[in-house]
Amino acid sequence: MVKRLILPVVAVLVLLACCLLSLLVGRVWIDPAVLADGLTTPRTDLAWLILFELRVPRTVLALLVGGSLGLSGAVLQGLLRNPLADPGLLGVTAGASLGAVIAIYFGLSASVALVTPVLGIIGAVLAAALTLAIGRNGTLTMILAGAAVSGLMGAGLSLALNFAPSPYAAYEITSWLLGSLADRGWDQVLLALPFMLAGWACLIATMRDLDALTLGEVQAESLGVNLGRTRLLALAGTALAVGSATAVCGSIGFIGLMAPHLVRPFVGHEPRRVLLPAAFVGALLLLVADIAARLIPSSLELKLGVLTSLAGTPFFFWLVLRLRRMAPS
Amino acid sequence: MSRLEANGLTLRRGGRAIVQDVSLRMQSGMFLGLIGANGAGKSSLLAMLAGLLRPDAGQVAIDGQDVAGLSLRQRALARGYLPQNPRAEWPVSVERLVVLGLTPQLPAFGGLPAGLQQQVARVLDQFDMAGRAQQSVTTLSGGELARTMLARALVGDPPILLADEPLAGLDPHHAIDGIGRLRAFADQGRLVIAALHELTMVARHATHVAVLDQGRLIAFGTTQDVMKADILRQAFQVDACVTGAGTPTAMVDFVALARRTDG
Repeated sequence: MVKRLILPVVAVLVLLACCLLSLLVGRVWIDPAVLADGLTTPRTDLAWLILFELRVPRTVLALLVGGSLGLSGAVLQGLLRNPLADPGLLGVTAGASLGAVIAIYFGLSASVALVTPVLGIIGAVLAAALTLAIGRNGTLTMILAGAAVSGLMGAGLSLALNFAPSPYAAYEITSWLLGSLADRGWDQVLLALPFMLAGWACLIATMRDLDALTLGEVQAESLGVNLGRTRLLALAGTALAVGSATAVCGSIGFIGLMAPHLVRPFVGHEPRRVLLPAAFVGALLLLVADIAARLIPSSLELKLGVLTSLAGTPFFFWLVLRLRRMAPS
Repeated sequence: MSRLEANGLTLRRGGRAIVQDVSLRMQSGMFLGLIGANGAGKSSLLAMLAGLLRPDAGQVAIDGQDVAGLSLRQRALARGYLPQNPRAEWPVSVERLVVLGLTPQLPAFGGLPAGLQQQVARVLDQFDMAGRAQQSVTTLSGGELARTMLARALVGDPPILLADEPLAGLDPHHAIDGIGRLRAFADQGRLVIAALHELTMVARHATHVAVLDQGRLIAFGTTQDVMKADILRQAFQVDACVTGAGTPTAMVDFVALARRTDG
């Protein structure tokens, strides 16, 4: 019993340590004393302002976004029974990106800051609706529909870059697409949070069905699983959680792919038990990546999405090699 | 006492009738062997009987109730279904795989109730898998996986079991063992319907036999009445020699007929 508790306890301690680090690290290093002091007595100086208005929302957002990516990745891998599935598969990420880029393209983001994430969420939901409309009949058709929708949204992104009104707009679009948590505030957290909570509820509701899918689709259906409902919940949950995450901070790759793999061996590969640990590990990975992005010295900001891709690709290679070794030749 | 009735079941795919106007009446205590050549429509018929495939015409009724009117969960409780070559998609433990058979009985969240835990232990023991309960299913041999899947299908104690070629890929020892278990399950008062290719095994262990030929039911009755040379000749295009059908020492031997020229 005690042995079973060690791993979760250590994981939570590591997460807390990373949260603390995330609050203190950055262009301006915060003295831990400011944090301790500010908790007991109200402060209004610059250090406290940076801490409360920038670092705390950034840390919270890293946890929420990473958690959404990890959870959605675990659900999709369980649903598709494919270890290479990730939240970008259903066209949701591309849809959210296109929505946000439209806001930047027409200069709407300059007038009201929140227009970008709002349009991003609308884009994610529309992309998911399109994927569902075309590919509702089966899991394979849903993946193909997702690929088609991703392609369509990608074409829209290219079009926006092609006709960008000024080089500056093109630069703004590209740098937004790279994904970052810098300069996000409480507004973004509060905007994304309700969508994420709704998405998590949908994703977690698939737990039991994912377990039954261990036996394949036919047996799962014979055991009373309504596969159409499971697919709908997974798609809607991904659209809401990952869509709003992408709308707020751009597309961030590999977290959704990696997190479920990292936890699977520790929970006996049971799809149900992968979900919450995957969300936890996703949150931890993104937080660590964000801290690293702030620590690595560079004249320009190192974008978070770039860093996760750089760090994630070797993992992907390892995964492919491992699958090749396990598969019968 | 369970009854399973099929009335005029027809399934068409691509303008061709895969199953045509099949009517069957089955009840508890029967072990029905469903036989027929490859492509005769056995799997489609089983899937329709299980309520997993909607027939283009006709209906299936469990205890007088149309399955189309039952919820997925009600269907899951009324019958167990085992498809051809069932596979596990993740390397979960044998015990977890068997527990999945209780999905319709389980509460949406939370663990396994104590009563069901005992049921799992009993069925694992019954199928000689108790010693391997914690082993990953992907490391099992074909025979062990087939036994585990049978345990999975029977753990919820369904009144009706439909199994599609449950003996495929099993060596003689495990095949005899498997079909013996199916017969024992029927003898305990359940209805077992299995698509099978091992004709001698069918002649020895099945209580009843249904024969499909190109989607049509050409014979249905007790093993003794159906396992006859002329019926097998029509269904499989073989010259068959059947002795002692319906007894433990039955034999079915056959040689292929010369290719028919009349189509």
